[in-house]
Amino acid sequence: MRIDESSEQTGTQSFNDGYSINPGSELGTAGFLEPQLAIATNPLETTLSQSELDLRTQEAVTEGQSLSPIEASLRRLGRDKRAMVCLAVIIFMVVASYVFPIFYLHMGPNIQGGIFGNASVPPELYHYMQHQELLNLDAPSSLAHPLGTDQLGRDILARLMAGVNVSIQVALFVEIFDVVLGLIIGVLAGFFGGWIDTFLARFTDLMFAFPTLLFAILAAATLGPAFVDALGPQGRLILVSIAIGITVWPQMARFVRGQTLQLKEQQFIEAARMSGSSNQRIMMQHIVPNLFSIVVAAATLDIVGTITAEAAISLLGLGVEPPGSSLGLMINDAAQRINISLWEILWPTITLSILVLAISFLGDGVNDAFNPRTKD
Amino acid sequence: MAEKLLDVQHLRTHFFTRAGVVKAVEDVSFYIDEGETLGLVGESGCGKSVTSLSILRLLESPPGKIVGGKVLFQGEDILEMNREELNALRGGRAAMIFQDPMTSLNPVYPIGYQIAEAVKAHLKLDDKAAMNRAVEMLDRVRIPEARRRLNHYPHEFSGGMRQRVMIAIALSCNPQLLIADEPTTALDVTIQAQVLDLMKGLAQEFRTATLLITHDLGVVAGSCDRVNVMYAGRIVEAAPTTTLFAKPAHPYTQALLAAVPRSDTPKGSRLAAIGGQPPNLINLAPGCPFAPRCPKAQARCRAELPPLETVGPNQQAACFYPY
Ligand SMILES: Nc1ncnc2c1ncn2[C@@H]1O[C@H](COP(=O)(O)OP(=O)(O)OP(=O)(O)O)[C@@H](O)[C@H]1O
Ligand SMILES: [Mg+2]
Repeated sequence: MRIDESSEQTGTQSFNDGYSINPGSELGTAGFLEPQLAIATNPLETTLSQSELDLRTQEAVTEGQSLSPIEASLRRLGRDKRAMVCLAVIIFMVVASYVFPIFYLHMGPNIQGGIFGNASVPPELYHYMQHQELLNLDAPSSLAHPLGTDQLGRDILARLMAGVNVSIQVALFVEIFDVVLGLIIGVLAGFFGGWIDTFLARFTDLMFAFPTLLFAILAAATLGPAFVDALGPQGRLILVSIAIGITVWPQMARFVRGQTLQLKEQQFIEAARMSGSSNQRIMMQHIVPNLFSIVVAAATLDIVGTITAEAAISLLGLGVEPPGSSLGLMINDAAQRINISLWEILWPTITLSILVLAISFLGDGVNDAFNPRTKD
Repeated sequence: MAEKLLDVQHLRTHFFTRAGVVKAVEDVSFYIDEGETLGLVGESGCGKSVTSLSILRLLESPPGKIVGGKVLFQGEDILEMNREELNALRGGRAAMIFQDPMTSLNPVYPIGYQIAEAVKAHLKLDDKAAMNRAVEMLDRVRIPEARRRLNHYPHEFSGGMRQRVMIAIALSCNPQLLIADEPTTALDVTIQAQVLDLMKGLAQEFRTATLLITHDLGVVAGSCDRVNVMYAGRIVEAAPTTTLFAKPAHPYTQALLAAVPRSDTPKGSRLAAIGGQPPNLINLAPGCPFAPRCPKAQARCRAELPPLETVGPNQQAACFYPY
């Protein structure tokens, strides 16, 4: 039934073709291409018009499946082995750092702890990141403390996991800030152009000029105490996140603005305007969904900068404060005593390196998969 | 023929740029009857697109501004319409097909959705009816297996198919006027003819009048009832297609025709390129804008602007020394 219909259509079409163009050449092309395609598709059809050929080739590529550009990008990403390994590492670290502490607190036997070493301390206490065992400083790996303890007798593994949590939270917070602000400002500037663009682009440049670290350090040093007073121990972390956020969004805004400028020239925008869509609708329906790729790629790469920035600020003592934990803070603590116990600095450094490397390789993969310009 | 569907009178569109005022469209008048196909031809930059955009008030403003004239659509002046009337008109009674099929569909939505959106906006159909209409239109533009293709994304279609989808969208609301701005320029020659034939056939079937903008006189010969030739923002000749090809009045039209290969061109003879450049639309010298490139130009041509006057049956030309 279907075959009949379509071959009938094909018939009329090629008749039209033959009429309006040089019939010889048309038949020639069809005849030349036909054998290869006939095998792949339908051996019953003998004449294929150009459009039919188009269709068949398209189908051969997509194997009858229809993928949106985003699905196609995700599929490309899925085929990138290095990115997938990195993704697995990241997921492992994130999940483990949030889930493992639940079990960790209940693992192991009670140990003899306390100042005089004669109190019985349960694991949920000695595995807590703030718990100190003053008689058990700089302990090497043991059953009770798999990665040993630091110079204050705190469990390194527990602090490590808490540190990764901090990195993730800061990264998430900053990325939300980054994406929301970058999208809004970039789209508005690119879409409206004119004085709006001039104003927003200058503002973006101005913010872009702040070096992330310097700005965050300044903010933490001047406003830190006030934030701690107002928001409690988390205050400093929130402040640092905001400070980093303020310096990363301009990059995003620039990417978004550039892409919006390009999109604006595409005719589907004009077609949308033509059919009476409002500016707001054009931006939400037509521009923003098309920015998905570039935003995802840029955000993944921004996370790397964010995590290292937080670590650096905590390392300088301006971020997370003891007894809280952060990878940077742990490195700082351990660095002063590097000749006494080496592993204390190794663990946080290795963890931070793996996290940052994995995210940055994943970022590369995402960029390759999502960014059309680097598709090949 | 029936009455005038679109009557453009003394349309003037200028761009106010830093370098000066670009007079992209100057005193352009033409009309389209119901169901008729009018060709608008001319070199690149002569104001064809600006004319079509002005008709539907799609110009980006600033810098573009319609500074004078009337665009009567079924007797109503489009230039006087408010937002609501314009939105009802655009995509509804008057539709437009753009030049580049590769960018005229939004890559993130399936085509069925995109056709249905257009239909829903103007025909007040519900989702299901709109989708059925989308299938019907895809069938009409001869996209095989229309129902299955509804869920496909633009990148899964070739250029020719995308342009047919655009035609489907444009015609989905039964417009009375279809403006096609170089609809086939981006396509290869075989597909061009197919798309033009399809457009012509459907326009007849839907009784849609078409304004076909092109710089390809071959396209005009195949599909237009009448032709207007534009030069430097003005119409320099208007005639039925057969008359224009048989007896071009304006030297510019003659030059254009001489630059087109024809079946009766003797083998081995050279095509005549038009010497010189189109004038800068900012500082137009007085007189006929074509005069500097015109082989027949006289002193009068450089001093005075020739008006568009009747020079033969149904034929008008803006030239002091036609034929
Ligand atoms: N936004 C703009 N600002 C300034 N000048 C413009 C603008 N858009 C068009 N113009 C000018 O208007 C004139 C007519 O342009 P238009 O796009 O109508 O040409 P066209 O006949 O469609 O050419 P083509 O065949 O290349 O599409 C050109 O000289 C161009 O420089
Ligand atoms: Mg144009």
